[in-house]
Amino acid sequence: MVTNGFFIYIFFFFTLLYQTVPCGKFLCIVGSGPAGFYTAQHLIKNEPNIEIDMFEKLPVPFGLVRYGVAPDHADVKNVINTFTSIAKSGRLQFIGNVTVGKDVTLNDLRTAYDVVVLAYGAAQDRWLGIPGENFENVVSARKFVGWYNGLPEESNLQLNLNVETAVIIGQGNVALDIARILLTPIEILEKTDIAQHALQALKESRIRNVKLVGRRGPLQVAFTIKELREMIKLPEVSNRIHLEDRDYIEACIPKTSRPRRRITELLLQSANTKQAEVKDAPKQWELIFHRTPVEIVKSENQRSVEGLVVGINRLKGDNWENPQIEDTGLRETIPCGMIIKSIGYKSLPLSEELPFDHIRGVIRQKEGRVEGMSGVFCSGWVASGPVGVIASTLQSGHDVGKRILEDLRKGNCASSTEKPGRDVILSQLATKGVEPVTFVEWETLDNEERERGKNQKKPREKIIDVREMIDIAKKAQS
Amino acid sequence: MRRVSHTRNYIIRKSKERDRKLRLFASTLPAGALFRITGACEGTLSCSTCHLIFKKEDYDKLPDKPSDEEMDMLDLAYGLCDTSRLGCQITLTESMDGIVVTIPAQVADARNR
Repeated sequence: MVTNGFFIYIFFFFTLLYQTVPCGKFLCIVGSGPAGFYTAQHLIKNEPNIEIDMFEKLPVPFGLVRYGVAPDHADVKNVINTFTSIAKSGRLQFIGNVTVGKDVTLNDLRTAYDVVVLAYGAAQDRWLGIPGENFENVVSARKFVGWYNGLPEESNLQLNLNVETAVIIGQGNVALDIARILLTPIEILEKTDIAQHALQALKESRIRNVKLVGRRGPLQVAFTIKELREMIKLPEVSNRIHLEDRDYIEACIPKTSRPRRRITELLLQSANTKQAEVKDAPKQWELIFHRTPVEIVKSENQRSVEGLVVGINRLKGDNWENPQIEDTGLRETIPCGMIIKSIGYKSLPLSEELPFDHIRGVIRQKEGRVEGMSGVFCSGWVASGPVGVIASTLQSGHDVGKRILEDLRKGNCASSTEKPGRDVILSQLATKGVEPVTFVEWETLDNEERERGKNQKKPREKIIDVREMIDIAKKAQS
Repeated sequence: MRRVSHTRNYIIRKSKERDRKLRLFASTLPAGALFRITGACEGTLSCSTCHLIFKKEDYDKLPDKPSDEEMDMLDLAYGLCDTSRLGCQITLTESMDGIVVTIPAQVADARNR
């Protein structure tokens, strides 16, 4: 009797285990940046009965942490340690070098997995839509950052740094990152993990003056104070902050929140520094406000850029946080030899069936659930738009993770049949000759990059060519 | 990945706004040991995920005032208030045992400030 009772107890115990996730246990995440990893983190911590596969287009993981964060911001990349422990937890399998949308389709994934989480970020540019935007030496910030960070597809970016003045359109943190990389002394850059081709180009760069041009005013700068301080402290670099109505700004300050007050005070204080004190600085950056790009011009003899024509704005309305921008009709030309557009990014739909908002460049979703596609979720920039630091993506990942578990536990599932999981996908990939890269193989590549970095006194020497990445990654196994 | 041990009572109450979103880790805790709470950037003042809110009287008693660098990162934190600190910059000691800190539920984009 006791024995029977014992077995009945065990039976119910195991039934209960299965009951926690009635809909199934195979999940996949598309994208291995912060959004993918933080969503995975939430799922792993809160649900023992699921397995997660993480697909990534490149052979290497970590997304913008590897390819977006500036080379001289190494501490921000510490999150890689967190992601590495998630990848090695035994609950997640990294499958790199697989392009969803090409090697496998969204439908293939929905057939194989109970849940699909789209976390593939925003890899497209936004466009100003002005004449001359296609000229040489006019590039998006996204491409420029990819170039100095060793993103394979930008390694051959055509840039002419043999000019004196670069204009950056936009006043966010990405704009400051680019200005800082253009002006930082080479002795500092050469000790970072900046891509070798970029380091070489920057050694030969003639750029002395970087102008950051924004439509709005000092009270609306989108960059944050830490990054502004870094700019002010750049060695051998002076700055010029073009303030037009200091009294108005000072009057607004008491009405602002602490963060806005502190950064505005820092701007005012820096604008006070007399130019004479730093007149011998060989390089300079400038903040130019109230200017909207209207046209890019080049001289008739040259193929490259000569200047940016801008319209002069005034700001209206009582809401200084979100003022209306009014064109005064006045125009001026800012001479320059290079233009970098730092105006944000967009996503693209991974498949035609994906409900997509083409104006905002995001997937149509509510609370992470993709509209009209049960079992499909999205997380990070592809869901919210390309705004936010890693900390906000952490939040997004955990929120979406919660919704996924809610749905799985309620029984709101894609179907009642059992899903096959990763094997069917892997055999499909094998038939197509795709070579998936595992996390252990990434670690081989990781070690090689660090080894090569040692010779150059850099934390790592990033490998730029995808074929080389795969060959090195798989070398230990051959 | 180790969690804060609640029996130490350094943190005894979570925000009413529900779950913590930060990942807390504590260094090893033999009796009387000091520890710090760190977040995503591992205590390097590169994020705001270890944001803690103290009561005024406890805040005033914290030995080290926040540096400009800490204030800069705090400016990005959701729910910022006058008694906010970044946990990674505070060495917690036995004398602080039992104090109550609030951990805000969310982290938010810096540009919403």
